[in-house]
Amino acid sequence: MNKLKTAVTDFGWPRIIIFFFVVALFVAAPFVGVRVDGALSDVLARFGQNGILVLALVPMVQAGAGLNFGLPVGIIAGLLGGTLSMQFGWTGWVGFLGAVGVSLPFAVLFGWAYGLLLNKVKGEEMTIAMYVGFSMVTFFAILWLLLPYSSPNMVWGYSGSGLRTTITLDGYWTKILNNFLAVRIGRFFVFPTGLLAFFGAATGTMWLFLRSKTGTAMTAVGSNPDFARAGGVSSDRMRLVSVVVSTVFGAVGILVYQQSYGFIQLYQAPLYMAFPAVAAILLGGASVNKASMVNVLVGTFLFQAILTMTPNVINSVLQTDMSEVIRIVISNGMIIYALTRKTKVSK
Amino acid sequence: MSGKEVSGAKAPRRLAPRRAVALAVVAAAYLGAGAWAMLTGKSHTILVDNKPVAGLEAFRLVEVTIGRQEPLELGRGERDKFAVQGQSHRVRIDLMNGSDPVTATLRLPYDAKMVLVSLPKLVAGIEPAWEPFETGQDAPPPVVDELPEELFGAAIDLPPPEAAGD
Amino acid sequence: MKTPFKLPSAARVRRFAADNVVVLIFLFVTAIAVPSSKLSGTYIIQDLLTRYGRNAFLVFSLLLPIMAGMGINFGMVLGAMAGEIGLIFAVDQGIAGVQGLLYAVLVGAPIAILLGWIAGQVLNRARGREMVTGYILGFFMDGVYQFVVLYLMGAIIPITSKAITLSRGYGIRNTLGLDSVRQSLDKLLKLELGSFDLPMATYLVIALLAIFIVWFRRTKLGQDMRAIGQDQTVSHSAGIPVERTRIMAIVISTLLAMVGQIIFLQNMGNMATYNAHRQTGFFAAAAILVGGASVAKATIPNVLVGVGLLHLMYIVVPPAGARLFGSAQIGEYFRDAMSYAVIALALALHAWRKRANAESARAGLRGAASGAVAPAKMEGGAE
Repeated sequence: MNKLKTAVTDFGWPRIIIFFFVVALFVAAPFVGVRVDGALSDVLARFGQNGILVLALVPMVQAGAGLNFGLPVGIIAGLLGGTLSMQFGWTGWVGFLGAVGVSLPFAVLFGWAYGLLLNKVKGEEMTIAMYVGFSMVTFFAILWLLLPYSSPNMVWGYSGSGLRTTITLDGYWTKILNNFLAVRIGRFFVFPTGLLAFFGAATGTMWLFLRSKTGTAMTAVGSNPDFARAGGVSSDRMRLVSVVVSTVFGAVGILVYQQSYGFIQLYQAPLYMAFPAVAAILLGGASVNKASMVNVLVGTFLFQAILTMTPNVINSVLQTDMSEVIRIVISNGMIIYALTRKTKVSK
Repeated sequence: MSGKEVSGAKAPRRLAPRRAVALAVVAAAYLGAGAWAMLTGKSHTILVDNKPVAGLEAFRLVEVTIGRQEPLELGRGERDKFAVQGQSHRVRIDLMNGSDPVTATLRLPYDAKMVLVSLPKLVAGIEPAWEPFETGQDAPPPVVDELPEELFGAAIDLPPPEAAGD
Repeated sequence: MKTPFKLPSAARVRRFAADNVVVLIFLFVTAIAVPSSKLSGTYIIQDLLTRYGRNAFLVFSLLLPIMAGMGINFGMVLGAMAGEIGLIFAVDQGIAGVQGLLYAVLVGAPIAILLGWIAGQVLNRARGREMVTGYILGFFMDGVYQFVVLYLMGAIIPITSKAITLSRGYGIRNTLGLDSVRQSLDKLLKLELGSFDLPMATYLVIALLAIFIVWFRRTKLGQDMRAIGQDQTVSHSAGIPVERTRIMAIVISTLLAMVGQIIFLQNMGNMATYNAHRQTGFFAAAAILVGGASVAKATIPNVLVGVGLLHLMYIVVPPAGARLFGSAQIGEYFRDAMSYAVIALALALHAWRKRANAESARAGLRGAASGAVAPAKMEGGAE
């Protein structure tokens, strides 16, 4: 009984409440005319769509660099890869994998510079990361207008230059992962095999990475810097690695996100993209300095379930669209809860 | 924390009377300012009407002034409006026939949004010279409601705003 | 640099540059943009004068939390929301003019105090990461605000005017016209100086606030805040109620932000009901940091310089962008990027210096290892 009690406090009441909220949504769905199989199908698709962005947060949390509110740095690298691949006229698998390939050097480069900065500001990473992300997004908004992109599918029709705010991926790699080996069961349920397999592979890679020599050293730096120093591990180096890995996953994550969405969104769109990801991982049970694969999977699933189910179920019950309010309150409430928790391992 | 802040906990008790006085002053100032703002700031629309009413003739030409606002000239059968704040207003009516202008004080109820003041009644000293005026046009014609922009709109996969075209 | 004729030494110049690098970068960019914008001097100055009245009050609201060592109060948007609720009621009740503004302040005050108190409690539980927590708290309350204004107003909270409610019968419209109070404070005491219009009443309110802050610093509470800003442990052992004082700093900041938002909106003349507060914290933070403030130290001149510089950039950069790149849009992105970068840079520089100081202190401690000098912290703790 006592053990259960500590488990509950450890997990945190907000998470338990939200968990039951999600369960209640699924239970209530059939009674208000929402198809559970259809909803579940949506949740799965969005789970795979957003998962890698959430996964990207893990290394920095583990290395003690906090929640990566600067995720847009990686997202921008991904957008560069995606737009360049389109510009080269690559389509299908070549296009998608090409986009990933092109984005990687940018992600490493950006992540490295971003990591160097974060190493200089230990203890204040999160606020600074957030503003680094914001400046990166707005700075790139200028570049989207100025860079010499020329593919007619991407630039504004009337001026012939400057990328559009949303670029359709039709004819390039729309839903290429979602549709790969997708299994349709009944009229409403689709199992996005390719998407989930890709997400699974990414999670596996991260899992292996965290158990590699570098990964364990990184975790050591995060959980006990003095001990790690005594063991001859360079804290700065490990943190740098964690930021680079996080940025790379961010870049891949946004490409997966957008192939599923069907559009590349530029300009201000990535500004706030870190927040839902952060909320998701915290919802899954991560704290500011500890996160695991389970946190990612559970958190992403719960968070996406809320996003999918609330508009349908709550709206049918209340006859009004309150999903936006619920989403804002839950996601940001979750972040505040995590930030205000007394952390067991102090920095 | 609270256990250690002994001095902090003791101080208010010693200062209790002073605190109470300060609180009372703040409360009084709050209520006073509120009452002043509500009474003098409440806006009303006064329609001035130069039409024959209840056996009284309309005037050929009058110049009406309310408070310190710009005067309005009304011909026979004309109507115009003043936007005012507060409930008590001096109305000055110049009949433009060489006689001394008539002044009257108009008192309105607080919740009257729009009143119609009959100038002939006001000059004749008939009370009340005003009546509430309902236009039925209080609400503007229904427009398409826009809902607020989403906070994380772009970060959640809703359909893109301009269907990816240009 | 009080003696301009004595050539400053290279070291001093370098130090000055290092201390003010944010301001210098900003000045440099603006200096390039001013001539290329081709705006007339009179236009720029008039616009600046207007924007001072519009924004300075909001930026002032950041001073006290910085003094209390809580960094930039991004949670000030809570105050802005309280002000907006006040204005909604003023418009709904048909209370016009300065009285309408006063009414909005009076309605907003208890809401701001409550929100400020909540924010203070939350921030007390998030020591060391007040800024990011305050920022997220702003988002969180944005959801609550939306719930209250979009769903409760007109349904549970009585709203009399149909003109401001959505046609479905409850919820406030996306845009609230503030005709009844538009620029009522600005117009109260208008001074025409040559070709310039000066909203003296607004300036007077801002001046009063500045005087209040100068006075407040000398009060017991103000002294306590400064002490806490220096060192929480020492302050605590000196008998200062640390948590309570920190909450007070946030409550006052939230109240001031509430008034500031009302002043801002009366100048704008209409209000984007659900968006007006979203950028408030960002602008105010950028302004105070551009003025040379840091996360730990901010003065009234920082506010005044910062508001001027930030808005000068906001005025001149879009037309400059239009002329240099053929796109005003580029200018707009550029000024946003600059503002974000300035905040990031200022925060980073401060964190960087703090760390460098801490490390050199630690190195010094290690050097004098035989326990000769204890740092100030411990001395205080022993009292």
